[in-house]
Amino acid sequence: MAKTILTVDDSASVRQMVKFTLSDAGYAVIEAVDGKDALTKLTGPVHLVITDLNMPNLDGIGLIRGVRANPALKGIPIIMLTTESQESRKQEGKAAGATGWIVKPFTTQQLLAVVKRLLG
Amino acid sequence: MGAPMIDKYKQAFQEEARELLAELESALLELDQNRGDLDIVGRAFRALHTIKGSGAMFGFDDIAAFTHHLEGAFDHLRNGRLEVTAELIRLALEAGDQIKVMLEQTAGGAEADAGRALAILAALEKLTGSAAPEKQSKPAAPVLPRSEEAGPEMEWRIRFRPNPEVLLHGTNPLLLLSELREMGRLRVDADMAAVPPLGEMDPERCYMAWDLVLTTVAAREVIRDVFIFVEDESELRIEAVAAEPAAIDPPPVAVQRKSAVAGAAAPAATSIRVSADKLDQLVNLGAN
Repeated sequence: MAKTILTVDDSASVRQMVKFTLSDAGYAVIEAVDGKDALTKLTGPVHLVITDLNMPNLDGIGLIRGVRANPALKGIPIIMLTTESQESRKQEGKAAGATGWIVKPFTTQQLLAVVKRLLG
Repeated sequence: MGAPMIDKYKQAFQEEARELLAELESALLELDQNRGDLDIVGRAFRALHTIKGSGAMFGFDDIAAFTHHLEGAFDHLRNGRLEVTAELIRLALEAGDQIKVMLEQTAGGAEADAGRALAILAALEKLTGSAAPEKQSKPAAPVLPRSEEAGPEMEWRIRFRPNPEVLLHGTNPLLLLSELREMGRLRVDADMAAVPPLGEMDPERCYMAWDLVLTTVAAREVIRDVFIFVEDESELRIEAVAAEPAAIDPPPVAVQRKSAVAGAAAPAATSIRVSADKLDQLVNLGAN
C-alpha cells in the first residue's frame, strides 16, 4: 500500500507542488493548511509529515511539538520546510523533534531525495 | 526543477500572491488603526514571507528579492526593534502595490517600473535604518549525487553509530545504509557490542553501530550528505582508504546484503556478524 505523506503549508502553491511531485512518485498525499489543521488530519495513518514553519493558528514548531508529544505518532519522520537562513530557527525545529529539513527554494528532485531518505 | 515544471505552478502562485497582497493590504489598514497589535503585524509578515518563499520556489526571483526587504522590516516590527509609524504603513502599502505590478507583469501585464522599486527600497532602508535582514543564504539543500561530477572510484571507510534515540526522532538508519548502497558497492559490518541482554533491551532504542566500506565514485560531501540530519547526534567518521591502484588490484568482493569479516581494528570478541536481512528485522522491531 502506498505510504501516506501529510504536507502542511499555508502556501497553496507549495502544497500543490509537494502534492504533485510526491503523488507522481507513488505516495499518497494529504494536505493541511496549518499546524492546527494538521493535528486533526494525523488521526489516520500517516507515515511522514512535511511542514512549513511560519503558519497561522499553529506554526511548524508547535506542530512538531504536538506530534512528538503524541505516543500514537511515535517515531514518525518530520521534515521542516524553511526559508530561514537563521541557524537558530532550524535548531529550534530540531530541538522540538524534527527529523530533517529542506531549505526553500528547493527542487522536486531535492524533495524526493529527502523523502526517500526518510521513508524509503 | 526544469522550466516546464515551474510553469505548472506559476499560475497557482500568481493566484495565491494576489490573495496574499489583498490580505497584506487589509492587515496594513487595520494596523494603522491599531499600531501596537502584534497579531496584525504577524499577519502582514506571514503574507510577505509566503510571497517571498513561494515566489522564489517558482522562479519569481525579482518579486522574492523585493519582498525580502519588506519582510525584513516586518520582522523587525515583530521583534520590537522597530515601531509602526504612519510613514512605514504608507511605504508598505506602496511596496504592496509595486509587488502587484511586478506580479501582473509576469502574467503578461505592463512592465513594472524598476526605478520605483529602487526608490521604495531606498526609502524603506532610510526608515528602518538598514533594516534589510541578512542576505538570504544560498539554499542549503542536500547535495545530490550527480554522475557528471563523479570522480574516480574510491574506497571509503565509514564508522556510524547513531544516537540511541534515532528511531524516535524519525530516522531509520537502515534507509541511510540503503542510500549508500545505491552509490556503489557497500560492505557492512554490524557492531552489536552495545546491544544489551534481551531483558534489558528497550526496543525503541538503537544499540547498533556500523563499520562500512563503500566503493564509489561519489565525492566525500555526497557521502556525508546522507548523514546530514543525524551527524550532530551521531558518531560519524568518513575516511578515504589509501588509494590503491584500482586497475591492478581486483575490486573488493561486492558483498551486498551480507557482512564481511570484521577489520583488524574491531576485536572479534565484541563484534558479531549478522546478515543485513536479520538486521532489518531487528531494527524494524524497534521501528514498528
